[in-house]
Amino acid sequence: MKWDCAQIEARLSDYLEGRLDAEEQRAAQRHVETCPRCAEWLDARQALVWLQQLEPLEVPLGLETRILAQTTGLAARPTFWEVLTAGWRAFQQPRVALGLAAALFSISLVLQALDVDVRKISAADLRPTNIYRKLDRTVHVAYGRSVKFINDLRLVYEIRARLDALRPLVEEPEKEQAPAPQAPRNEKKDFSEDNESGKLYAYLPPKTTRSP
Amino acid sequence: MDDAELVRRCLRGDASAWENIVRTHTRRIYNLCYRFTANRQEAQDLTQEVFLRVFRTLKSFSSEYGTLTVWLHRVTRNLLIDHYRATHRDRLTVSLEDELSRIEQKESAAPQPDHTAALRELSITIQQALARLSPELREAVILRDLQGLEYREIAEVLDIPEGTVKSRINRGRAELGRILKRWPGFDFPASVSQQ
Repeated sequence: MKWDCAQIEARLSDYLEGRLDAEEQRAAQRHVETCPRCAEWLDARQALVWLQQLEPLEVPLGLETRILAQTTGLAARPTFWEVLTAGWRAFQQPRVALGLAAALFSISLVLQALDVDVRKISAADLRPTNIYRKLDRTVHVAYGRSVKFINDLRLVYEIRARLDALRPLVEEPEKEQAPAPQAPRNEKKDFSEDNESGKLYAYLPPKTTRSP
Repeated sequence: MDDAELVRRCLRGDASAWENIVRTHTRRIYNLCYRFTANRQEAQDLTQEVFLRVFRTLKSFSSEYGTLTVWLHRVTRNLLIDHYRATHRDRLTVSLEDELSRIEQKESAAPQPDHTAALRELSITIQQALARLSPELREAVILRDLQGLEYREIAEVLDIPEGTVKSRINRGRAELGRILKRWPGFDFPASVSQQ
């Protein structure tokens, strides 16, 4: 079967909406794909395929009830069933599920940080006084730990400072015996003047005095 | 129960009949308004306005106008034209782009499964592309391909011959396809749902 432009024109809507029978549809498709005059209907068909995939929006919660209230003056309250279905629809959205998962994750992190084991929780633990006591204890323990940590740090620094103060006394005699050439202790050393390091930093431009 | 009977019951003061009409048609009318304005808040306001107008003019409904669906679409379309004229064209496109970029930002913030994300992106892009069609092509395409009205019903809503309806719809689809083909970054497979 072969179609021409006139046939396409006569049955364009049927072709675009896929209402031709299989053989006619193939013939129409072949013609449209090869005829420069009918080529625009390929775009039309593609547009229709995309359009058909759009899903209608849901009615926003309470719109129907607002309309009824506005027209008949009935009480503008969504029915229990409306609230329930709207809530369930919202709940099914991936955004909500992800948010819920994120919230659970952060709650579990906080519980872990507070040293709470959900499996061992009892009714007594939920009493405000017990919660307060537990929180108070956790805060005190955390405070105690940080104070100890800072004190330890202070001690470490003090020991290091003392050692640094002692070092010149220990190293002076060594220097007199044999000056260690490779110990790069002097941090202001210029690499381009140092032969050893000069190899390593060969990519640096050699330090030259610029002539005026 | 046919539409004329439903309307008669409404006119006799039967609240449940009116509620029936509202609950049956709100979704389609809301979607129609949204496709024209690309703004959810405006679409809600317009939907409310449509039902208010319909409620006030229920007496004038007669089955010779066609079905209730056709009548509601016609009222909506007239309201949308008024709205379109009242809001300056520039303001409309600016607000459309603002709204869409806002939606895009908001919706891209949460990671989505590939399929939903692709569909949402497709929906936003098509919405933007539709806004570039001339109003007469756009309304024909929306009524047919998004609202699912029959050609005869569209001819009644727009008050033009059925042949003109068909030609506008097909030209509108071709134009939309061309716009989408040239759309920067638009790279959708032929069919998202077949992924």
